[in-house]
Amino acid sequence: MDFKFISLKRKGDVFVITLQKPPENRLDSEACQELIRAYRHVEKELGQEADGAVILRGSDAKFFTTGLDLHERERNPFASSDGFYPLLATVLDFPFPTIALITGHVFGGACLLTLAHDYRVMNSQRGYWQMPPVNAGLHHDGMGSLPRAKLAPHVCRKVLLEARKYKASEALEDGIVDAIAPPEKMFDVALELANRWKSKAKMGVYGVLRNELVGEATRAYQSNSYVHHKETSEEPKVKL
Amino acid sequence: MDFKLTSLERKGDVFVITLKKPPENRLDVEACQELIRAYRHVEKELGQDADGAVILRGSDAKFFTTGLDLHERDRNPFASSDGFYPLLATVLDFPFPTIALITGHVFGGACLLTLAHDYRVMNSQRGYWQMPPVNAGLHHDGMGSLPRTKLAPHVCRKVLLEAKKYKGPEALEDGIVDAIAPPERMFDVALELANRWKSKAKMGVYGVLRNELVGEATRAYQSNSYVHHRETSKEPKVKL
Repeated sequence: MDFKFISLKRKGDVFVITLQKPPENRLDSEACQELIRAYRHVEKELGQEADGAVILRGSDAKFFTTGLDLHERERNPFASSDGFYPLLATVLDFPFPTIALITGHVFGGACLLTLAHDYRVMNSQRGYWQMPPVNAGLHHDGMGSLPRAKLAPHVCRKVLLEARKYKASEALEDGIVDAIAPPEKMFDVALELANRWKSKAKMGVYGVLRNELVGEATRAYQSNSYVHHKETSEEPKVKL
Repeated sequence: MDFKLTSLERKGDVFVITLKKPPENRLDVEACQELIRAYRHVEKELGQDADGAVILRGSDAKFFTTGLDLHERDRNPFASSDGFYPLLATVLDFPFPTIALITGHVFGGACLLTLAHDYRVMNSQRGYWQMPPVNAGLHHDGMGSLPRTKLAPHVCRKVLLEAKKYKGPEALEDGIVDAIAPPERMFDVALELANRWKSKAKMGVYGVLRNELVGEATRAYQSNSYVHHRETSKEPKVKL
């Protein structure tokens, strides 16, 4: 299968999707659609009611992805609706355990992409995790649904209303990530997690049960996807 | 602007609303409507897309407010619908960071008023924070929405199902308040918080993002406001 912005590897029952869109792996609608294709490809390769898991990672220890391409929005006001929101809905719906390996910096919408995954592993030595919308005047319908589904109320406040800039150790403390590890160990930690939980998909209810917990977020992004008849987000006052 | 039951002060970009309805600052319809006017006045004075914050406080170190005027309900079954619920909706909607300075005792509905604010500072030495509905046979539609959006589940149970009587230090431990301080320091702590977060309002999305997190509570109180065609609450068996 042909991919321009990612590379796909298989390690037993675990697939690894590596973002490869230098310099910062910015997510425009084309990259998001390619990611959706990659997840669907993995799903087909693994089959139904099988062991399996997916790891999404950055390609180096500097960046995971620094977020959406906010300039694309000028050319196409529906860019997120045609790319980013369907991508989140796809990951949230996925029938297998998903792990985000936060190799480096991650901002804005990309933070939501990490939260959409079942588990998060972060580079302990480098990289910030931050959602700047309150500083930039940004909002999209349902932006609070993933924080609410995954994080404690006081952490939600730090993330969305204070734009807290998290280093790995504090992200671990606040439950934003599940594990941190130095760059040379972080992939192994993610792979261990994937192998530990891949068998939970075998009985065919993993996605259904996940949605029992986070379905509100899935529905928020499903209802924002491919919507052209209304604006689902505010124009940012500052483009970061 | 004329206020009977509150006083309003300005300290730079921070407004301070002090409850002045001795002896206990009980919230009847008139007081709630005056508070709504005060918040609207602050909003107008600060303007749009500006730094700003509001502190709501009691006037002394004995009481914040001991809650709704439950005798008013005998005369007017829609009292809460015309005062208290719109007040909560107003605070939850407010475009600037809000801080409740719990100077002393706070009970029942007044606890919900403190939860409706973005941050809470409490007198470390004096005053109880308690919701007695389960003891008094009280309920109103949506009463759990604020606890649910702000507190951990086991704390919600302590608050609503156990009527736990909280002192400052335990309220801090359970995440009900964000800071505690002795009476001579508590206002400074609240003012510091206000000054730390006032700039988050500048980009004009603070209220929108807050409602991404607590919108369920906002909607609960909006849908109870000015409702006369049905009862939205139970007659208390005990008037506290």
